[in-house]
Amino acid sequence: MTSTLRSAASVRTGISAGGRSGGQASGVTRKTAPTNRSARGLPKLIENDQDVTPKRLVDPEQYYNKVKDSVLSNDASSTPSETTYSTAQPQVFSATKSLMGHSHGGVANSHGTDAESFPSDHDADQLAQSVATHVIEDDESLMSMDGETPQSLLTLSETDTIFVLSIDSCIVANDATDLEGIKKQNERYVELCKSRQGSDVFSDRGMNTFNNTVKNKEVQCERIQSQSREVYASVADMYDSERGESKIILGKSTHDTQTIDEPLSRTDMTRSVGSGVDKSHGTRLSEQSIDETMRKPTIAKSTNEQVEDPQSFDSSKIATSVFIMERILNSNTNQVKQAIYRGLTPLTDREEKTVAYSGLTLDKLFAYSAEITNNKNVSALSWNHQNSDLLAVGYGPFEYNDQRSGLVCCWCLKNQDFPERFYHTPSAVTTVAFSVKFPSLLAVGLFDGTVNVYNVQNNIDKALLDTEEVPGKHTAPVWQLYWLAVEKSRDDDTGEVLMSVSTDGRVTQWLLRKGFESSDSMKLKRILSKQTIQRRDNSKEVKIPKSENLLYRQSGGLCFDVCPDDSTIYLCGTEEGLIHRCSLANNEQYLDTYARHSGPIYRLAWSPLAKDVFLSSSADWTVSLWTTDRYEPCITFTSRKKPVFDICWSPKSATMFCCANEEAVEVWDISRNTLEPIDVILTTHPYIFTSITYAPNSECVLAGTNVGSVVVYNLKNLPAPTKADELMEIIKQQTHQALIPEDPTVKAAAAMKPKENVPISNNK
Amino acid sequence: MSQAEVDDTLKRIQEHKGVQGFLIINNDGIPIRSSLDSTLTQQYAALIKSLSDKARSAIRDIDPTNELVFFRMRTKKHEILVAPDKEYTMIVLQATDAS
Repeated sequence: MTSTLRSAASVRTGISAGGRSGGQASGVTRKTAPTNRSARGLPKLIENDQDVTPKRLVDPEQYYNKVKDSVLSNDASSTPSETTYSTAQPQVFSATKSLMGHSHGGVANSHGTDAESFPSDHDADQLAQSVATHVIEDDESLMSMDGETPQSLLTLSETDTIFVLSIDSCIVANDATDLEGIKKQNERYVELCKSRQGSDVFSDRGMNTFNNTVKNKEVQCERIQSQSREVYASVADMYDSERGESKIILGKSTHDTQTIDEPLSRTDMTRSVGSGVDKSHGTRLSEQSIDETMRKPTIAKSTNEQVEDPQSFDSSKIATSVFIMERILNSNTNQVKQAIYRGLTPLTDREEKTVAYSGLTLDKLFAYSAEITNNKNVSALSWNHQNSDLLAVGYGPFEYNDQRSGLVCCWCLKNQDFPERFYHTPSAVTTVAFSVKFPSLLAVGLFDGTVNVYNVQNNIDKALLDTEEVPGKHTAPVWQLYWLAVEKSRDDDTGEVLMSVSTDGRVTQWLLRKGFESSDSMKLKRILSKQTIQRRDNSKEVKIPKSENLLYRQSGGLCFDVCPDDSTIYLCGTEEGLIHRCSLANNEQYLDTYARHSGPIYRLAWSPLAKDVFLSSSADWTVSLWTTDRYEPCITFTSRKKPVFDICWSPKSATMFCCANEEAVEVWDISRNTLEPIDVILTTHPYIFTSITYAPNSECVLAGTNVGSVVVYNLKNLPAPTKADELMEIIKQQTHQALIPEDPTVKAAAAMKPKENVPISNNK
Repeated sequence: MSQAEVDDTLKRIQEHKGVQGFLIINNDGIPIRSSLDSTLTQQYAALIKSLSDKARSAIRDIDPTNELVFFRMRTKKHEILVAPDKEYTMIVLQATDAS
């Protein structure tokens, strides 16, 4: 019990509780205090008819709430409102000349003789009562513990403070009306205190409280087990728990020991290494124990914990790790090759003896081949437009008989032993093309005339879309596919159409709306080559024969290419060796026809850098370079006596291209040599090259073979890339040279000039 | 990837050039699958697992949005490739003179 304030000046004995304590005034004073207090009023400040009395800072209510004195309870409400109080200050008020608390002192003084003991007794009784009640409570609870009754919940708490007597000091303002009276009272009180010593009026008497008997009771509870455990919350743990993502699970120890909690010692943690780790992703309250790292692992102990049943191990959960692991292994083994592919200087452990090649060389790096592609003829290659490491390869034989199911594989540089994706198709694959606008769509043309579209984001064999049921489907093998960006005619169009050419003589455009919708761009009519040549040669004089063929045969188209500068113009090569230049706007007539080849045209390619120049490769062992304005090829390249299956312009250099004929891969550079390729790779094994393409992001050439591997060759010692105008120069030269023998006048004139000069010099 | 494809890939990894062995352990450090002998498996499982946890918590402490995907230790005799994952961790040993 805390003692409350009281004026130190008055010392009155008679209060039993707590014995003599300095500064306790008797209950008498308290009793009379209210009457005295009620006589005085609090000075009120009235200004402008408003009560502007300053409010007090401290609420005196709380002081009196604790008073259990019934005497004051009636007046408790009145007294706080009428007086101001200061906080308890056990000062000797008589000593100070301040007016604080003088009223108390005065009050006590004036009524000091009216000592009555019964209020104090009353107080004492009350106090005893309250204590008793508490004691009783304790007894009850004690009894309940002793007896057989079930233990109830015992709450021990501190009792409220019992105020036996509380007399607060009172502050009177200097301009109080009864100031003089209060002062006199205070002085009188001070004198009384001084005279108290020897006077007969007062006598001291000691009091003593009862010494109750004490009883000891011992209680023992069950031994409290404790285990010390340290946990460390790392930044990551806090981040995770903030986001409420993971459940942090403290791992269970296999052995819980009963040791007393010692703050610094580690309990005997014989748990195995594996426990103490949570099972949720990423977060664990890391528990660090020196024992763990120093001790040999004891996995055996943890086998009696919940053990993962090996049979129920689902491999698909580990798919990501396995995938990454395979790629890393590959990169470990093939790091040098991959670095060369990327154009980086490879790390070599030992110095290779470098044979200095002065010219361009082709260096075999590696080959994309796997078991599933064994003995399959590579028929088509296409690069992805978004990921230039991704190559789609179509496998299917060229022969008309012996049709097996086909295969499309997507290879990535990072893994050369197994394709990233593979799709089996019902019939042989003849061509593949990646979409430009939607880089994950792969269009595949098949030997039976269907066109399938696959989504390479997953590895499902079933095509996303196919033309099986579409009425406009091709009835003969589709030989080439091309994704063309067009303007959207409707809002839900994709902005891209797929063009295909096939042996049934149609060049078709496919719209991918809800399914395939086809529209024919051109029907390839079979025209007699002589007719066309006649027309061209006698362009000024000839009257176009009126006998237009009403019936015509369709000729099979084998390849086509859209002009990179003008996407409405495209070239189409046919089985008879004719090249037609057509427009998308006109699907009846050709714009031009170029006839020179004597065998079916296998590949057409516009030059990506030079305007209006294209190459054609054919089964007649030749590759021809054309410009659109001439009906004769500018240059014709022959080197081997084998049909040329595929050609590809170099994306960087305007005068370079490479071609694959049956027995070799040849790289041609027109600026150096138009008669011979500048480099050749011959096939050493009994396989032939069937397709070729340049890598878009590397100085490499990829050649497909008929045994199912795509071989990657690195072009070393490349000359500086040539520009388009160099190519035009060369073409001009070539064509100019071709013209000169036909025009004798020019030659004569040329011969004349030097002769004229000679006499002049002779004269000199 | 389906289970069959993953099993195929595991087979390919095992047959890859230079690979001396592999093991797959779960989050408790218990080896699920292994191509090494028993003692070596236990050792690798316990030791590499604690190292992997340490590495992972180091990365996450630096930046909690980051995540450890892969790490390798190149030693004189071989290279230890570790791919920790949500539930399992995969460890492969590859000889260093492979390439």
